[in-house]
Amino acid sequence: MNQFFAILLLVCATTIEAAGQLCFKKKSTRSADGDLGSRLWLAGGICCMAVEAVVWTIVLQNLNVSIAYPMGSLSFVMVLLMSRIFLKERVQRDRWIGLALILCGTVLLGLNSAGSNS
Amino acid sequence: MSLFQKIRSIRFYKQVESLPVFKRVPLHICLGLSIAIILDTGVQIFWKMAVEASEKAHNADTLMNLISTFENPLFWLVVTLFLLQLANWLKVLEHADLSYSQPITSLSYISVGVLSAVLLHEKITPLQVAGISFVLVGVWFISKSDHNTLSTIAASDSHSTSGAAQ
Repeated sequence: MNQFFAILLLVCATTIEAAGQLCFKKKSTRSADGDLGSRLWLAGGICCMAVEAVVWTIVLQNLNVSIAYPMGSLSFVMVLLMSRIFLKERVQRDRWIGLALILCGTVLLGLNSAGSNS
Repeated sequence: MSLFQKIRSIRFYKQVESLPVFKRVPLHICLGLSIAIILDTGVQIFWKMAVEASEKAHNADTLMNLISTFENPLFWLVVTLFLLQLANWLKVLEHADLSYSQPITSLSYISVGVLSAVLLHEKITPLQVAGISFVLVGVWFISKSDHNTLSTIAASDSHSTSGAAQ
């Protein structure tokens, strides 16, 4: 499997991670605790974590952990975007700056892994 | 009495806790954050070790590698550490803001880098150090903004306001 595909999988993993976080947030903001809806959100979150474990294992088969782990910070970016889209949270200017910096860092790490071929 | 409270009631702990160094950041928060960093690092390093062990056994077959990774005792250790981390993290968040805790635990990007070089013989390049630095500053920027924008914006959503207020 090539590096490009591994990085694509890593992006998938971070997206799933963010989706899971979104489920947990949806669960925690429901007024009635323990109703069917809140249980479904909880189950959704746990499913996301299980699927992510599989995807992350494949990522680690192909990337150094010293590259994959910091690239996993893309999940912050995904959470930011998803909470803006699905939770209608307002995103402050500082967070957009942080998002841009994380993206820069991730691109550098990605370039690094494409360059070395380990 | 929870384990956490028991530890805090030990006399030696109380003496250390009252040292002036821990005036600004209480000892139990320091401990919680250190444990969070250690567990985060452990999860990643042991996970990679489990993957490498199964790669030695099955070469390049992705599916076989996957199954044998999940069967590896090291992976159970990962799951255990992960659950411990979850419990510890919830404990930390009871006592400290997420925006304060998040950037501190992202120091684990550094510890994972160092340990992967030492234990797994991964090569750390200057480009990689630059990348990790960008990520760290980025996390800091995301965390330093306000912690609750929900109450001001999504007030129309009755579910979210009641949950966010807690």
